Order: sequence, then C-alpha cells, then structure tokens
Amino acid sequence: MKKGKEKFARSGAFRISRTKRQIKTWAATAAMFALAVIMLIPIYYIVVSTFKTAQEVTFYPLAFPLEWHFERYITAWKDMHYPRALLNTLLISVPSVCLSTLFSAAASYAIVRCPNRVNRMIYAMFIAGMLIPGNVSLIALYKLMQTLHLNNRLSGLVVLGCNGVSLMSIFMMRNFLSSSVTTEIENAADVDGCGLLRKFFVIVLPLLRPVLTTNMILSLVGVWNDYMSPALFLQDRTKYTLMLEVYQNVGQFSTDWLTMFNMLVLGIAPLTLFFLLLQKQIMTGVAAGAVKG
Amino acid sequence: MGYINFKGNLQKTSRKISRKDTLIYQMMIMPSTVLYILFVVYPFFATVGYSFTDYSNQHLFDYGFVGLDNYIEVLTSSLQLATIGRSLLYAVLMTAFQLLFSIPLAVILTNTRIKGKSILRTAFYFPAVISALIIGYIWSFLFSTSFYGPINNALKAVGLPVINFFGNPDIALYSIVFTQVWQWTGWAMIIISANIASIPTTYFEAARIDGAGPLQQFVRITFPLLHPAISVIVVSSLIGGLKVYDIIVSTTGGGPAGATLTIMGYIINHSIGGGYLGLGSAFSVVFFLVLTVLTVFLMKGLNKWEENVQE
Repeated sequence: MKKGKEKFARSGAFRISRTKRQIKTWAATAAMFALAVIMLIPIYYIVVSTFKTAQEVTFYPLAFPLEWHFERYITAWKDMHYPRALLNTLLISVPSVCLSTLFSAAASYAIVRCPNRVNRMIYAMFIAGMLIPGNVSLIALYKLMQTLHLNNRLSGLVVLGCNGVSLMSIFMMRNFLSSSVTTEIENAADVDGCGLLRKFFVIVLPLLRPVLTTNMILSLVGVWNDYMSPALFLQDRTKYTLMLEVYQNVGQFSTDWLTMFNMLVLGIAPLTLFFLLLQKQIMTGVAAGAVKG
Repeated sequence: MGYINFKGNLQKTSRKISRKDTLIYQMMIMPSTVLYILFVVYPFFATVGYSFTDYSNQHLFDYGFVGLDNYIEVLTSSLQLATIGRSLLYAVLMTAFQLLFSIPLAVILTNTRIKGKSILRTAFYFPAVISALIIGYIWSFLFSTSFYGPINNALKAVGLPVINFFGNPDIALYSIVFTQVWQWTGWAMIIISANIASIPTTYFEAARIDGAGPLQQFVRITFPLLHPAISVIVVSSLIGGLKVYDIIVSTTGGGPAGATLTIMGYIINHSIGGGYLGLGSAFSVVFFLVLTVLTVFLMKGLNKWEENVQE
C-alpha cells in the first residue's frame, strides 16, 4: 500500500506524461476499490448468507442465492423479540443522547460565559476526571446502581449514558463557544432585553448546532452499540436491548447457526440505515470530534 | 481528546453578570456536575476505599479494613499481572497496526487523483459503525473450524492446514487484534485524512519546486504534521484497547484457558461475578495507576514530537 502511495501521489506525477499518469490513476483507483471490496466481504458474506439454504452457504459461500429465502428472518425477528428490543434500545439511547447533549451544552455555556470561582473549580474537576476512565470504578458503580435502585431499569441506563458521554461534549462545546463570535449576537440580545435562559435556547443552541450534531451522533453510536453496561445492569428479558438479544440468541447458541446470521443482520440493520442516511455528517463529525475536541 | 486546550483559558466577559443571571448560570452547570460527582468522582474514591477492605460476597455488610493485603495479592498473582500485560499487548498491537494501515490509506485517499474517494471512505469506515459484539460474532463464523467456516474451508481447498483462530491459545489474542484492526482502521483513516487536508498545499508546492519526490514529501512534510491526528488515535485507541470487553465476549469469552482474559473481563467475571469486590477494587486501582503512568509518558512523548515539529 505504501508503494502505491509513492507511485500515485499527485505531487510526484507531474514529470510523467499525461496518459501515463491517467493510466496510473485508474490502476490506483481499481486497486483501492479491490481493497474496499476485500474489506467488506465479511459483511457481504453474512448478509448474503441470510437468504440462502445451508448447503449453499457451505459450498458457495460468496455466491448469490439461487432462491431467495426470507423465512429465517421471521424466526429471527420472533426469537429476538425484535420490536421490544428495538424499543428498549431507543428508550435508552434517545433520552440519554438528548439529555447529555443538553446538559453538556448548558454546563459549557456557564463555564465560558460565567467563569466565577465555583464554575472554574467545577471545570478543573471535569479536566481531572479525564484521567479516570469510567471502567476503573466499575465495581463501585455496580454497587451504586443497586443502592440507587437504578439496577434493572431502563432509566438507570439512561442516567449512565448521560454521564458517559458528557465530558467529551463539554470540552468540544467549550472550545467552540470560546472561539466563535457569539458574544456580539448575545450582547445584541441583551440590549433587546432577552433573558438568559431564552437567549440560551433561542440563540446559543442553534449556533452550537454543528457541535451538537457531532456529539449526538457520536454518543448515539456508542450507547447503541454498547453491550457491557446493559449486560451488567439489565436482568429482565423484557428489558433487553438489541445487543443483549443478539448475545442471548447467538452467544448462547440457542438457535440453529443459519438463523444466527439473520439475527446479526437484524442487529446491525438500524445503525447501518442511520449511517447510510447520515454518512457525510457522521464522518465529518468523527474527524471534528477527534481533532477539535 | 489529545487536542484539548489544557491551559483552560476561560474567556473573560467584560460586563458584570447580575446576581440573577449568576444563579441561572449556576443552575445550568448543576445537572452535569451532580451526575459527574455521583457517577464518576464518588465511584472512583469508593473503589480506592474498597481496595483496602475484605469487601466480598461473604462480607457484604461486615467488611473491614485489611490494609495492603489486596494489593499484595494482586502484585503477587501471576494471573492478574498476566491479565494486565495481555491487555497492554493487545492495546499496543491494535494501535500500531491501525496506524500502519490507516496512514497510507489516508494519504492515497487525500493526496492522489483516484476516483470515487467518498465511496471508498464510506466503505472503509463502515465497519466502525457496527457494534464490536456483532463484529466478533461475524468473525467467529468466518474463522469457524466447523463444516461451514468459509476461511478454513478455503484453506483446506488449497491444501493448507486448518487454523483454529479463536480456539488456539497461542493465536487467539492476535486473531482478536486482527478483527479490531479491520474494524477501526477506517476510523483512524478518517481522522488522519482530516489532518492531511488541513496541511497547506503551499508546503507541498514549495517542496516540489525544491525537487522533493512523493516519498520525501511524505517523510518531511506530511508525517511530521500528522502529530495531532496520531496523538488522538494513539491516546483513544490505547485507552479503548485497555478497556476492551465486548469483542472478547463474542469471540473467545476470555478463553481458551484464559488466553484472552483482559482487564475488564477479569473485573466483570472474577471480581463482580465471583464476588471478590475488595480484591477487584485493588486490581482496578493498579490498572488505573498503569493507565496513568502510560498516559503521562505518552503525553510527554507526543508533546516532545510537537515541539520538534514546531522548531
């Protein structure tokens, strides 16, 4: 791959004649597409297998199905209690993403616009907390959830989700707020007699939209895909999230191996849809979250 | 994460803030602060506290102070030390291979004239959206040694021996590293691409006028200026690697024979599952110290690199 880069980098190509350069560009394009196809073959394999018979899966793993079979999706859907699991996942991820984003926006706004002693101390505490990765305190957290009666409740996971993502968001928003020019607009709002809370909701939050979107997308993917916290804090089958249902069915090998493929695809489906719809925002969000955060 | 302004320069607002507004500001910062103290600060100190007690399922309410006993047990237990070592090895390998593959990919997808760049980016990034749990199951099927396992069937077809990727204790951990490199290289590539795109094109033009080839341009210009992206990837991927849990559950479950038992697996299965809470807390504190030392050294190294670049 490195060789490819040296050969095809635009910068080095200016000495080579035009046609030669074009051939190289196309060869590099073909090579990169081939690489992408190889990388995505595992996912293709799983998806295409869901429509095939056992024999076809075993003997022609990459071929298209001769006949499309959908019946295993019905079994998988039922065994996973799909609607319920999807609803549980939504009931955990949507509130925790929205609340944590709102709380972080409010906190960072206060930190930037009202840097008094208390707020500076709280901010210092947030920074110090970066040194404590959440999982270090898992044992105490586990006990705390039981003490607070948040164990085996969807709301408990909402609370956990809120707290898990908020720090990163506060840093990003603080940087955004202190580097953007919102003060002038805010001062104008002050002159017009706009109250602080109204100013925050009507002026500041819309201005923060790019950062908020990034935050919401990143934390949604994180909360949605998490297996560890729901596995630790949810015990009733009726409260299981999608990932727990996948584990329950696939991990415990309680169904035949072919139906498991369908379950995995059903498990991936919602976020894949989300990704395909919002791919541009997601990928710019990832880059922005990492480099500016 | 590495790019946060640690100096914490808070913007001074010129006008005075009224008492009522101060109260509102205080209310706005409260939800985050309360959640943070309750779910981050308190559990951390509680864990440190538990680590000096015989807190366990046998002593849930009548636990008492045992001094450094738990720490001595952690530091003399080859199982627990091996767990930390294994997690470190996993995290370092995963980070190194991610960088090794993502940097050339990002350079090709940013600095060349190839077609379909955005489709390629989407394709390479896609595995990062899927949960690690499901990625693990997918690879369990692909690597399976039973009659349907496609990769082993292919190996058999060309006359090679069957490899038990997740079942052989010598290679299970590396097989897991492989799946995670496969999953996260696209993520690293996106971050590096954004970094490369921010390098002023005039640098490359000047280098070309001076007769620098593509390789020289990469070594002299691109790579040194990738410092921010590489810092982010190294720090988050190392810390993420040390916390690995989900992918282990769906590939090996910590086995075979404990060959892939990592820190989180140990804490969840042995400390919480087995009820050795005090001992597990001591183990967590040791883990925290290892992580802190590692982070400090990393930050120092990365800052030195940044200074060298700026000179």
